[in-house]
Amino acid sequence: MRNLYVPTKAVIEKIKTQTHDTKTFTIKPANGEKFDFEPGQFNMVSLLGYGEAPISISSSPDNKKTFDHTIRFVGSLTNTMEKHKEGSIVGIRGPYGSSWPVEEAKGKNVIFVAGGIGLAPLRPFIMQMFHDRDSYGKIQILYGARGTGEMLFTDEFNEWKKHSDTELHLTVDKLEEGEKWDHTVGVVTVLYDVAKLDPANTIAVICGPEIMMRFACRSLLKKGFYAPQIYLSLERRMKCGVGKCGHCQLGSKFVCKDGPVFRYDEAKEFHDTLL
Amino acid sequence: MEREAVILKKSKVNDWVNVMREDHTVYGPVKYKYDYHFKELEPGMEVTLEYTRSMIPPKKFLHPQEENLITYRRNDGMETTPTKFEQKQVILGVHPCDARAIEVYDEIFGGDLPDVYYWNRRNNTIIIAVTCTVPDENCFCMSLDESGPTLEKKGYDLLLTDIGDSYLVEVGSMEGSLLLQFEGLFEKATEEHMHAKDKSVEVTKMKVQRKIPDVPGLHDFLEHNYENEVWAKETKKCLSCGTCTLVCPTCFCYHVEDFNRFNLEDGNRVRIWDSCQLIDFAEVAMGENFRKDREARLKWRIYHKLAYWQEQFGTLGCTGCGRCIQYCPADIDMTEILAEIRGDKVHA
Repeated sequence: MRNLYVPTKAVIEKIKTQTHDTKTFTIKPANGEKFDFEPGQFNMVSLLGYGEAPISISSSPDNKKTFDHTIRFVGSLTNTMEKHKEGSIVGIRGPYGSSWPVEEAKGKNVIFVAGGIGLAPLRPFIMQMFHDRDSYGKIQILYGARGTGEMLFTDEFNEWKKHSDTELHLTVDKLEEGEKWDHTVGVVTVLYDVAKLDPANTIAVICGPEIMMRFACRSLLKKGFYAPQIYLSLERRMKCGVGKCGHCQLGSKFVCKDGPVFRYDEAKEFHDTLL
Repeated sequence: MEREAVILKKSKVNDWVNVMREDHTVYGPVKYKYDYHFKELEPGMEVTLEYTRSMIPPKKFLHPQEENLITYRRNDGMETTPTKFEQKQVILGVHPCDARAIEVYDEIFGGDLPDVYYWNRRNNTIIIAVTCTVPDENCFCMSLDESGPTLEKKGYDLLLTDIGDSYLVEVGSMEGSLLLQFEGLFEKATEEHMHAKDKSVEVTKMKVQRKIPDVPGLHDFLEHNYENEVWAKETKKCLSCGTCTLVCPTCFCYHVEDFNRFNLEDGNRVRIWDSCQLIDFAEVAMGENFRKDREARLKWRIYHKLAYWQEQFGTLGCTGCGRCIQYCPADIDMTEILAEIRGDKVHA
């Protein structure tokens, strides 16, 4: 019987700064084995002496040699992660959890609604679509952050926009005094009017703080979307990632195993969410 | 005779324990201060098979309160240390409510991702159950399983039933029958002994008075009453101490923590029982807490066990053992909460 709790040794190959408190770590299994995952899945990142935390994968699933974790430094494990350098060893368990509806989305238009760090778990799906661009309809990426300094993957935005039939709409909650900004100001849902959303033959995928997802989902319903067209990813406390430790349970589901990606019509029925 | 069974004189129970101890670590219920506790039976210790309930269920031998998962050296990799079993462990005197809870544990720690630490213990554990004869006012096993104070054909390796000056010993597995191979301890059982057991079980069933009505309808009933004012009233009493989950035979949640030695190099990754009643149980990074309200936590325990568990694990998350009622320092009683929501008369 395989021991579920033993992390695999992995090496940090590259570290890229995203914002003042967020970096992307490109990681490679130390044994050189390929790493296969689905967009939307996560790993338990393990630092001996500091514990483990569930962190979503932010790289393209086409790359099987390495994978990225885009990590915001907000807790004891992630703050320790910040001190790691290229060549440092970390432990990895995964990939775990459900994935974005990559197959269902084929032949359809896809709207991405991301808030802050929430763009990281969506990025593998976006990359997958760019890689297989003809299989999908229109892509609309709606990205909101608290401020211009909080936005991730900004250096890739021009590349993203070059893909056919692809829109990227940006907004920030607030600008610093005198700050220049060519995009929208306001919460992410203000982009719904800017982007002219059409529910026909479309699915929407949402990731961000739960309170943001609440308004993002409810506003989509007001725009004529049905709940089964909407997918979102939930964040919950997890100690095991494999449906044993009990922390992430919602209703009869384990967010680690049955989620983190849920369809909105299922997720909104759970108690103890902000949805 | 349909059932394979023998007879063990009560006066020979200690002799039997002693011979089992030669090849097994034997645990059993022992009185300590006001309560019964499962302890390792050592020479001279008196095992009690007529008892109402132990404070901590025998789950502790399968999912210990603290268990080392990994021993590590931070710059030099790690080794894993599932506990090695030199001897099989026998848990003697397991009540049917607790034996059913172990079957629930088998589902939780099994499935498509089995937990090697659990199964390492479980596969080395022999369960000698005992038909309960002294249920008290907190027991409600009959609402959850019609066999109530006894087990029918599964959930045990051996099953003892008090039939006067002897125990009827029924065999549930090959492992169990191997513990009956000792000379001079056992006698053949007759139809009469079987009847004596059935009679004793009927008498005990009558003593289990507490009930949860309409168990199959609990899911819908609870979902319809999520906003009932009884929850807020009960929450005012709750201390969020977590006792109900510690003593619950089906509660399984655990926390994982790394304990470093003073050299900051060596350490252990340990799992420790956790409780959904504690305030930080559902807290994530940056302080977002999805069950920060006490009422949400109190409801979660009851909804999980009685409404959601069935879909999750194919069984209910309650066996009616009565521990959460007996040990709650605030006298919170989920059977009375359900009765009050239903508008039934609550016993004072």
